[in-house]
Amino acid sequence: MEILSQISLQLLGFTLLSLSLSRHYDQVINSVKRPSKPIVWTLRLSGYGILLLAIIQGIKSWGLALGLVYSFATATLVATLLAMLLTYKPHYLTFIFVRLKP
Amino acid sequence: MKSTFRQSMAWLHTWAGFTFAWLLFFIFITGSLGYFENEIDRWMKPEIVVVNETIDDVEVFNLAKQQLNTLASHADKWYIAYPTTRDPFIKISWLALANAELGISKQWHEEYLDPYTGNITPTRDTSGGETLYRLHYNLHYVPIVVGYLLTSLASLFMLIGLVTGVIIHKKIFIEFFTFRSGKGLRSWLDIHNVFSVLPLPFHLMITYSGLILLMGISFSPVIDATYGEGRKLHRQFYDVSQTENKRFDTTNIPAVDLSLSTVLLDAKQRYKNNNISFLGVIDRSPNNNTEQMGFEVWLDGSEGIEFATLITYRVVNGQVQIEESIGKKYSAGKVYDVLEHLHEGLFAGPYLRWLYFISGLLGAAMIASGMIIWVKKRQKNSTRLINLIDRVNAAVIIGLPIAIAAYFWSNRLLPLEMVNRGAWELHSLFIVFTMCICFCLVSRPAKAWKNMLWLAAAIYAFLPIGNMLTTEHSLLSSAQEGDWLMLGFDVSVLVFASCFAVAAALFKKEHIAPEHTSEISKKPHPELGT
Repeated sequence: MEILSQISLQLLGFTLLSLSLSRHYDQVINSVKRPSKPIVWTLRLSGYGILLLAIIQGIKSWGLALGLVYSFATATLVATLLAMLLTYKPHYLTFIFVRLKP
Repeated sequence: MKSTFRQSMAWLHTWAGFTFAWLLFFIFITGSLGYFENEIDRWMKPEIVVVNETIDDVEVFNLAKQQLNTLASHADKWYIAYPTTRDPFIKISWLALANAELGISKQWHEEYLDPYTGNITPTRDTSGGETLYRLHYNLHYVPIVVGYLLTSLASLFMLIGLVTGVIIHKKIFIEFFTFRSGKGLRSWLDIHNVFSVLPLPFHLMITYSGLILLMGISFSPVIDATYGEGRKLHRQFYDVSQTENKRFDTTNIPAVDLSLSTVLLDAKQRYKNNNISFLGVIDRSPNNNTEQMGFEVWLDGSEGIEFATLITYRVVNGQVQIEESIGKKYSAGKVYDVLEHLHEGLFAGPYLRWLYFISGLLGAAMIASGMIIWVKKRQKNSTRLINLIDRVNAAVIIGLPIAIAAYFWSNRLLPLEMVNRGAWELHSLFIVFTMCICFCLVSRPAKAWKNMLWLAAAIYAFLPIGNMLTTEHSLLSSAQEGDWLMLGFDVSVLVFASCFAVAAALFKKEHIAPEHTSEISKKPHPELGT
């Protein structure tokens, strides 16, 4: 359960972060428009915020040393998965925008 | 020297990486397998009877003690390994004393017990997972010190490669998630970045800690300066730096009653929430004089990244005293401990263990992609030397996994009664590795890569079938019996086989149209909608 919440938090955090980069923003929403500054900053700050939350959750669940190990290891897993998703199935990530702009 | 800082760092990155790339690839692959040392061991000893239900601690103890009494009454040390999730079987081991008359030196023996009958289960002579993972720092055929020095030097270059790699990566944040497929060299650079940047915490940790773990050898002149040269004097350094902090407690076990069984009951009472993983007797004396013996209890599980707790019972001044190690005394020892534990990952549960393993493989993939880029950048000239290096790359990158599969195959195929069977398993690994190199040297690079990939796919795919034909373990029977380690191994090799097969199939496509790749990169990518 703790592992699952760690993965989902990081997945959300890294997805938001990746979307703050115009390359991936374009891939996901399928346009060549650059994201506006407020959108970039909203995505970036929320992304970092959620990652911070993930680390805090890790430390709370497993203690400082082991929590950091869990967080770093999960970051590798999640970021690699995300890189592959962005390359091959970027439209899987459109759900973020559906939620942001209902 | 190059004109700018970044250029000279790029030069350093290229050549630091190039120098030890093949050795580092070997180290990363065999080291990663070490995270599944116990699981590989179980597969290589198919005779072991696995304990599936919880059995009473005392019952295990009685079975084991009976066997130890008959087999090892004169031994100096006794250990009983309790079934745990990673090692679901009962194992006894003992340290037999040296016998000058028979010319036998001190030696560890181990046997597995059938939990239902209490009899010894004879297992085949095998090198097992331990020897396989030790390859990553002893390099097997060279003297141990040479192995240590070479691996230290390699990790030093690896560290240089990592740091310079971060410096020369211009867009480490912007291209954090970027992989552009089907674009020739660009794609290789992208994938090299993905394999390096995303597991960077692991890479830095494993390389740095690897370097520190061997510092007793690589930095031995530093120890010489204070303690003097030679093993004996160095021992003093280790003894001082590794001093443990200890906590003492008294028990109400009467000194005359001190035995392994009273210790077991006392420990079970003290640590109700922990399972026991080992029971041991140290400093045994043949006349059963408990005055000087130590009784050890190892608890299963760990606290954070620390090892399992070890408690020792001893008679001190007519009273039974407990001694518990609570970490190293000095800060240098503490730092060393943290790095060692992080490197070995013994604390890791299944999830972390897999991530450790995958990160290790990503590290190997990073090295492999770096080697491929090195060749690709120079392929235009297509000199004989570049061609040769391309061939050896294929031999090392795909040949090593094939050789490791051969190691597993030899465990099943070599005759059981063969003398030095375990040693020959390792020889098989290196014989097949050499054969792979020879094969690649005589064929064209493109052909060598493709054939090697198919060969790797085949040799891994047939492994579970070989297992089924030579032992009683098949995928189905392992699943039915709940033998998860056996099943996990067989399924994992099938996954590896399919990875190699996919790589072989993709490789074919890429090599049909190598010229088109550069054109495609200029056109808009339909899928990306750009």
